[in-house]
Amino acid sequence: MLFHSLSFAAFFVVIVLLYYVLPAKFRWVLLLLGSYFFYMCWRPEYAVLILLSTVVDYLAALQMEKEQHKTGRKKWLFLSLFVNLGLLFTFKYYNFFSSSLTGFGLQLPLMEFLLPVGISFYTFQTLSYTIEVYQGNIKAERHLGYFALYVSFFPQLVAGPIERPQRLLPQLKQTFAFDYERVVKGLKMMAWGFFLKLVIADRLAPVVDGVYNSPTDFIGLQVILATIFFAFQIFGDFAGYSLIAIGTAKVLGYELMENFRRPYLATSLRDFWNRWHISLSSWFRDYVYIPLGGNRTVKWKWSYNILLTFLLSGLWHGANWTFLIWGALHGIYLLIERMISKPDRSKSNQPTSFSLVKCFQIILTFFLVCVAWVFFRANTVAEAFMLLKASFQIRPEQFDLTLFRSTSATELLLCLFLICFLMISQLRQEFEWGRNWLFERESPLRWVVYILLVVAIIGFGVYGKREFIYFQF
Amino acid sequence: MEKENLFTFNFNSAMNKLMIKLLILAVSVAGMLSLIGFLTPRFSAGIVVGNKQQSLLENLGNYNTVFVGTSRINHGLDPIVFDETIRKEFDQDIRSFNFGIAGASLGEVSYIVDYLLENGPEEMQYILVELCSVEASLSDKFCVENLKSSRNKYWLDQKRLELSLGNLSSQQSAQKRRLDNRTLKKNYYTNYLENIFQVGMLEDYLSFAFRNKKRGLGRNQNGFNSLDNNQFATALDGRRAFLNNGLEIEVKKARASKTHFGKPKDGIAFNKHYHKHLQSLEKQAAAKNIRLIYIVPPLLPISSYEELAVLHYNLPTRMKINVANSQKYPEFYSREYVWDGNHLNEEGATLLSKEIARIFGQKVFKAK
Repeated sequence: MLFHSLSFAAFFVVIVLLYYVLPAKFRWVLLLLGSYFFYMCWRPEYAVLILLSTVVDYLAALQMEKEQHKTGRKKWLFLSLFVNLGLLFTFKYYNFFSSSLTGFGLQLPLMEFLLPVGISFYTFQTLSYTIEVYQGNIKAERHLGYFALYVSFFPQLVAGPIERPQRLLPQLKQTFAFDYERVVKGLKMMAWGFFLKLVIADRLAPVVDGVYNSPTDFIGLQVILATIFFAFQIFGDFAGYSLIAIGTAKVLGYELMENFRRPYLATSLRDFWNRWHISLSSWFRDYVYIPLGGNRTVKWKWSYNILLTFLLSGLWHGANWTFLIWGALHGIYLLIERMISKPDRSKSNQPTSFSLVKCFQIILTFFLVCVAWVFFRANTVAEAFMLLKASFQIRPEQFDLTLFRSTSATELLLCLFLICFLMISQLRQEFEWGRNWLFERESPLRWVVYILLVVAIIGFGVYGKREFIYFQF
Repeated sequence: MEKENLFTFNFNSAMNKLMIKLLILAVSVAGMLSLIGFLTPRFSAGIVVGNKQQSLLENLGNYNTVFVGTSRINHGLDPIVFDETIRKEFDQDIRSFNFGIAGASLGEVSYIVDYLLENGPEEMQYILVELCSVEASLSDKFCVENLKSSRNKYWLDQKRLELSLGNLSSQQSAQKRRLDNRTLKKNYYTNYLENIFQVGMLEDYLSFAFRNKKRGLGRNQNGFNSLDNNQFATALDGRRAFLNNGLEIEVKKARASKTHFGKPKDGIAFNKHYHKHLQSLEKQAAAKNIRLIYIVPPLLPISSYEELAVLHYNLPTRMKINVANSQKYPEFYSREYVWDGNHLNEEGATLLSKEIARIFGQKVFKAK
């Protein structure tokens, strides 16, 4: 079930009404049934995989707790890793590896099945639970229902944010009364998420697809614009999804973690990774980078840790060499950045002042991120290199609003306007411009803004069958 | 986070406040969207359809005949040739305008005819309408997406919704096969609601406001677009594909037309709902002293021949002009006159316009 569908609108209204009508002790049942229904609307048979992960991790964690020694706990952790990563490997990576092995003369049969939606997300979420129990940071959950809901909670089931058991599990056991401020805040987040997805991301998508699906037909400014558009498309798409997920959970009373914090205003690559897909980058930091030794080791090992973490992050995104190169590129960026710059001790979520140096840093970081996005979006590595090469062939006649054959001047102007609008709103949030003036008091102007936002979502939204990009991961 | 036991639902002041605010928001948004819908031109969903409607409105006194249909009419019926033929052969004053629209569905054509009957030229005497296929209008392209615009829904008012739903069930029983009724109905209802609330339609208004006002009107500004002079990528791509393919689509179509239009077939089921609609549209026109005639053009989609042939046989002679039969009109299926397998080139359009003018003249003026 897609968030931007009429079926979800109906589902959401029913769930919210029932949630506040039902006695508190039955709410987890409603949410669990609702979550499985939400998932099964796509392919009912794949719900078995979630169920399998849930049962295995539930039992493994209970067994772990019974074990006195670390070695005893380890075998149950391995069982959990084996089952979860085994499922992930089978459904997501098997065909990639078998087709890659054909280059070495090994012929393995290919399997024909669809990638289960959200498998990478719920697998990582449930793995974080068993790892935390293994490390003794949390106690194993004894209530199978609550644990099953932790794994399958519908707002974040198919594309995150990847929650941690310490945060989500205790909330699932709490009873939330109807809180006007919280519900309104959740609805506002959902509205902004829909705007990012339907008005910005899906409007930019056809221009990006046009160029990236026919890379030989475009050069220079067309490729550069398409790449910048993709940067905003993927941001609008994924940040939009995350906001809808966080807002949906908030309406029901639950607080999910922030997933994006104005990433294109990052002043360094390190800063970018503190702002982009925060739930995944912190997952890799906590469960891969730090266990490998992090930065408390010799320089070569530290470099190895960074590269390996980013390669795995690339691989997490998809079974394709393009994602691996994207991950490797970010790893290399970070290594170079750390070698040439002093450690940055400022916290990215603190409001800071605007300066020209900062502006230059933001542009440079955005440029490097865009170069990496070329690999992320291109269909093959060869096409990515072709597009990078083609982007240097800028011709004067390209400075025309009709430079994309299938996109009208109005559409192109609208795309550029929306990107500017998004950046201004991000700058406003980052540097807290005009915040008190508009949003912190009741005013008719605020109503006008909300009405215009909803009108824009309805009137300017692109409605069709386009899914969220991150569903494929 | 508050802790509370058991029932937490009650319509307390906070809930009432939220409900009232959501209601105000919904009413304001609906009001604003209705206002936008009211203020924006009715045909702004597509630049060509909007330009044709505006041009017709601005020149109401200049025309007494309008052709309506899909791209087959748009690229196939030249008003200058048509008017000239009538003048020469029947000595009548016909001033025609081509309102053919590429990618038009049955519903859109019906909407345009209705619009013309209400708002068309005062002197309008004749409307020649392409007989559209229900089968072709059932494809997802028409229901969900049409040429990246709101062309799939701007026409879907209450009347068109009833027509579409009626056609759907009637088509199923006529064809004796199962259609994906659920999806199709869902598409129609969704598009109907989207049309009411202007969903995704504001961008088309913007494009329309900044449009090239001559686009789609053709070199003589009478709505006819010769494909030979068309520089649009889709027309050129279609031509290239036609020249490169070895499938000889026009030969296949000629064969299909012979099979189905060769001789009348009795007792074959047809879409009764659509048939009734065609007849009521003709009656509606007649009440305004307008003669409405359906045209069956050549180079139809192969899947439409059988459906349209049966339907055509069940329409009274006064209501139809059939030029689809390759046995009678082999030239319309000859490579010399075909542009891309679906449309005629300019020479073909000239031949077709003359032929339709002759049949029309015989039917309308000789009968007098």
